[in-house]
Amino acid sequence: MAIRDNALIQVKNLKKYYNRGAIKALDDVSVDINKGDVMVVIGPSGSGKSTFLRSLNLLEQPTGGQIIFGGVDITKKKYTDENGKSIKLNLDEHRQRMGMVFQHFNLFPHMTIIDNMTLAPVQVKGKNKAECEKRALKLLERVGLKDRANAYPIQLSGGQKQRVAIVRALMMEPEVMLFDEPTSALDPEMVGEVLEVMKELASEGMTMVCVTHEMGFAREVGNRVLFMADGKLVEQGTPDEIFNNPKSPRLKEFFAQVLK
Amino acid sequence: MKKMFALLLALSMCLLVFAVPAAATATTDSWRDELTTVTEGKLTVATSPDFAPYEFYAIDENGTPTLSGFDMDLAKYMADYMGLELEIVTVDFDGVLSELQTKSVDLGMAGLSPSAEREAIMDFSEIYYQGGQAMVTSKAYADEIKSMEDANKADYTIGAQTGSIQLELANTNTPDAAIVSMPKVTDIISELLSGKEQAAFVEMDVALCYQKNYPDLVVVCEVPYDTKGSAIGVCKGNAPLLAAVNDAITASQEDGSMEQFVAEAVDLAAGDKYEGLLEDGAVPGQEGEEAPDEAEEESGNAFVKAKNFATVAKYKDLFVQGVIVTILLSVFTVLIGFVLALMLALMRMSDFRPLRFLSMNKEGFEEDTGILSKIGKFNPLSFLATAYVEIIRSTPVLVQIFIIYYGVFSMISLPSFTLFGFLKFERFFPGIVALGINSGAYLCEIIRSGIQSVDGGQTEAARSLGMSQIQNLRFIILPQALKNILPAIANEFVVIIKESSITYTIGVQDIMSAVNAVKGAAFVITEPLLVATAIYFCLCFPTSKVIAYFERRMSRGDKR
Ligand SMILES: Nc1ncnc2c1ncn2[C@@H]1O[C@H](COP(=O)(O)OP(=O)(O)OP(=O)(O)O)[C@@H](O)[C@H]1O
Ligand SMILES: [Mg+2]
Repeated sequence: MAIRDNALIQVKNLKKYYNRGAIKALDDVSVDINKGDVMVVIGPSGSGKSTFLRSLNLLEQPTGGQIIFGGVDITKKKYTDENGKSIKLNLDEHRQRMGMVFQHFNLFPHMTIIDNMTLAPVQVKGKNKAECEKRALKLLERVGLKDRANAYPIQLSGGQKQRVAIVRALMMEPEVMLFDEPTSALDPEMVGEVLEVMKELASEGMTMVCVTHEMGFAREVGNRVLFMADGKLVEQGTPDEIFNNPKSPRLKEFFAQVLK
Repeated sequence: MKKMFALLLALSMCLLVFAVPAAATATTDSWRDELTTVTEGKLTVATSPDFAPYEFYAIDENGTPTLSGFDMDLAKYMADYMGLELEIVTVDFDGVLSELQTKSVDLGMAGLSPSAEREAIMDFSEIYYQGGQAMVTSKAYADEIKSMEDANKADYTIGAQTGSIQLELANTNTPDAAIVSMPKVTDIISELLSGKEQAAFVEMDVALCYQKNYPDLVVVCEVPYDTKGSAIGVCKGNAPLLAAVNDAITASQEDGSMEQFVAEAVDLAAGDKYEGLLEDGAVPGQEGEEAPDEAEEESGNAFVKAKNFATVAKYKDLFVQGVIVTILLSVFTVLIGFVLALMLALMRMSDFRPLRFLSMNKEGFEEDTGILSKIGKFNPLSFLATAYVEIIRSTPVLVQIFIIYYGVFSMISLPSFTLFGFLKFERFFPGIVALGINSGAYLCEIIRSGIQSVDGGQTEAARSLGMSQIQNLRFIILPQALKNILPAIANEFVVIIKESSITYTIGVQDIMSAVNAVKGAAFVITEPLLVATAIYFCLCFPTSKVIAYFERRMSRGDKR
């Protein structure tokens, strides 16, 4: 298939069990994430959306399956390169290439906004601090927060914090951005400003995986929608297919509840 | 690993010390070429300065407390004779024996009487002074107790110094009485005079000295004892040193020096230079004489005397030194403790599971059932750290200090030098190591709770940015954890200030050791303790207030 060649991340039979398999947070999920995809993950609470997203950058250690990112199965401790040599996997390197935005922002409270943004590029990638600051200010300007560069996170509103969290992740120049309900902890009037930033990011061609309850955003910005329930990937398709023509009863039931 | 290395280093240092012969002026004496000492160029002598006229603190012409007594004069004489620099170490009497046993010092001079048990742990010089043993009582009991048989009654309490020959004499001669052993002769005499003890066994000369100061003290009889006299305890197996000591003793006797030393010491101990002298009956113990049941009430009046504070004031140098030592002890202890605690906390929280492979299934994912998964979860680092913390927290700090000092550091030879003229490194260092080891266990739990108090989302954010475990700790977790636990660490500092008082038992000259010096020399007990109480309070109370202030300020910052 043509899509396969394009796949940035291939997820194969991913499983995550808790309590000796009594809870199957992820039950055999397989999906390809292609370059430039804006993949929206929807589903009822407890369906495994967060687990799926967090497994992608191994914040959650899966119980089984494969995640192939950049040609390497990152769920294993070692991999063999083209020459058949066994190499120890450097997980930190892979994480650098995936940005993540959390529901609760997780800004570093003991650092200013600009330090929050420059810490990882400087310490992890060994970049020049002054250059990083220049770039950070540019990014802050784009999200309308340039004047808050020297503020501490505690001095910002929720929406501002989340915009900072997004640009902090962008500072690492990731190949894919993972969003776990980025607007769920925000007051309604702040949701828009964050979605706006995400929309802009999508329009620039960033590969994104978003767990969200914002159906409007899913419809408008997403190019693929995954529906999960009980740890399983129940249905997937274009926004049009999913929203206008749901097939599985589980998805219909879900829409009946959320779109009421 | 580090410990092994330190041990090897210490061993090689030992070898070096022994390989290089001490510098000595050339004479005909056979021992000169082979003389070695614990510290090259120094003669290190342990003593217990509560034993006038043998050794005690006397106030010299300048009003400074000085180690005096004929043992001290003889020690100086011997050091000069051997061409060495004299280094005096003051500890409790049983400490003198321990120091010799662990070969931490060259000589022990504390009116030691040779005995078979002691021969096992030290060599003895010739008898250098013919003293005797005495049984003493107070005037209140002088009529009842006229012989050792009289004293041998179940309802009598009889005192003797801990670890001393007198304690053995008490056990053999008055087995039916209740025998109490105390580390300081002063304390024994004080109890005797206040009616808490009815009789005591002490060295004859010491008894006579005390009697001059306290006429209420009555010498009942001389106690027969086979080796009548005192010898110098010599670090076991050091034949050249033993020969040198014996030569020096002979010389001191031949040239009349020894006689002079004794005369001077007795004079000093009995004369008005000796603090604690009985003037117009104003001494705490004296009130005890009337009748035992009135003693408490009476001594209530005499509990504290202004005059005695004046006496304590003369020893203010010792207290000033003590304060400096105590502060240094606390600062270094907290530093050592903190580094240790950080390591322990990280070990406890680490994810080091070398047997993890046992619990892996074929696919390389971890199973969470079965015995193998239990084994796979075993973390030896965490286990060790937890064991350490629990052991330290479940044993007394005094025991730990003794084990560290007499056990560990008797195998490691530390460089011997003195800072500021009173801080002896070879004692101070084991002191801060022992306290640091203790404090590390407590700080470990503080740090652990501090780390755990940092929101888990912080680690997730840091790791998702590609930071390593160590970068996460260094830049994200520890700065936040430390801010949370700074008050607790500062409180631990206050605890250490108080707990460090225990290091006087290994001869660190802290505030408590100043108290003991005054007690031993001036025969005032309550007042130096009150002074120490005031000093400790002045150190601890403001410190905890300052901490509380910063604690409030910091929490205000959070609410902003
Ligand atoms: N540490 C854990 N131990 C046991 N069960 C867990 C754990 N973490 C998650 N689960 C379970 O895994 C399932 C999936 O959780 P997950 O957080 O992925 O759901 P979600 O789809 O993100 O839900 P929500 O919309 O509420 O965020 C849930 O049933 C949850 O209870
Ligand atoms: Mg979730």
